[in-house]
Amino acid sequence: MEIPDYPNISEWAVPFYIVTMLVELGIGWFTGRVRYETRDTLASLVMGGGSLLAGALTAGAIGTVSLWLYEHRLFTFGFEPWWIVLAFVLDDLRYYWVHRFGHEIRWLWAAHIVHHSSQHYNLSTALRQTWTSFFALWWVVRLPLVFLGLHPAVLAFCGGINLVYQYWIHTEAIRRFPPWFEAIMNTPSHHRVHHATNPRYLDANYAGTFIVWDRLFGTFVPEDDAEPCRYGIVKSLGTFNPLRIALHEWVGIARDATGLSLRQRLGYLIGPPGWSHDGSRKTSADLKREHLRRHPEEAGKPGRPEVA
Amino acid sequence: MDKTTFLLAFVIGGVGLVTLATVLLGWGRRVPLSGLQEAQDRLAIDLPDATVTGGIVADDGLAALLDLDDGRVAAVACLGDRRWTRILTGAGGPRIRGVQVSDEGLRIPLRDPGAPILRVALADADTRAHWAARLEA
Repeated sequence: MEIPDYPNISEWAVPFYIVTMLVELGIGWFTGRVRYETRDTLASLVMGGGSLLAGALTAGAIGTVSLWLYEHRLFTFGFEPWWIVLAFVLDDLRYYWVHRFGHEIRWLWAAHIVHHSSQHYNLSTALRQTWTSFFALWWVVRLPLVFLGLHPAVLAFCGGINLVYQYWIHTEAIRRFPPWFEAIMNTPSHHRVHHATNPRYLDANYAGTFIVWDRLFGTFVPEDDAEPCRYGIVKSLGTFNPLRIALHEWVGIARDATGLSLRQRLGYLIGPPGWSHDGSRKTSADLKREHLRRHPEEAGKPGRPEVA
Repeated sequence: MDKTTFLLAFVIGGVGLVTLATVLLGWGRRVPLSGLQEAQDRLAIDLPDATVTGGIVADDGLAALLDLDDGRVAAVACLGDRRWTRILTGAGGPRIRGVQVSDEGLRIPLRDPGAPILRVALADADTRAHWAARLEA
């Protein structure tokens, strides 16, 4: 069986990234709906370049493990277009779950927090990517699909398309698409919610390409025009230093997990972000509960817990 | 030119072009706090239950120190055109690594990998001494 030579979508997309960022800058200048900040943008782009480099350095190891597992696959799917479509849908489902884990498990969050660390939301934010996803083991969640019988090259191709799709939704220049599109696809509106730190928007809209996964698994929260998104992370960064952006959460984990019992250490490693052994910090669920305590009239609305 | 070199040149050129465009559009300037009220409002987003009893905005507007009713001191600082906040003193152990005082103001190293330094420009010596004492208490 001959393996097609799939293009590296991420590399092909680089000119598209640059042109569209310049267009978005122009839109921002003329309409005021988009905002860039020089050092924030530079930090995001440096993180993106570093992520490309980290990906190139670790691709061999991931490829080796994946190809070994593929040799022991359960089924054999071909390279025909319909299998590519199936692979894309399954890989998008895989993305939903690993992305969700990335917000709910601190070890994975330590890598993913980079992408959320800008207080801006523009196309450069899309490129603010982690350098440590290999170390955080994000790639492991794709292995079940390989074991199922989807070739690693097909999955890499689908993953590339998925990432490029997610690029253009990082913008405030586009408000809403027609309802049918918003119902099926991940859009700028849905993804703005995902990047927001407003309590009601926390831990929502994990989708890559298809928002249907969030609707299916109960994590969908629509954007409410009455509550504008505040972007970033709950504990905003006070630096543009790329090394600190890349590593600050890992340093935080190391400090938190020192000198404690095994159970407490595990809590800091695999508990949700904000978990602490002495209850001195707040998880997303805590923040939602506290918000609801202050605003009981909002109980039951999307993104809010049912009871305080 | 091989593909890797071309891609590298494109990435570096693109980063430079986009960054330059933000500078030319005037989006490279720091945006200082408009006053104490803005600092209070920003803190209220991160710490909605905190009650501010007083405070001071740095001479350059790039940071503010806020007294809370429970005795803690909080900071609001500028990062480009955005703000970040931290509790500097109080429960949970030391959050600062001391306070360095100079003629320009206070330099406060933080025990925080995501926000390593807080600078507060304070020209008035008495004001500097007051806040240095509050932070080191």
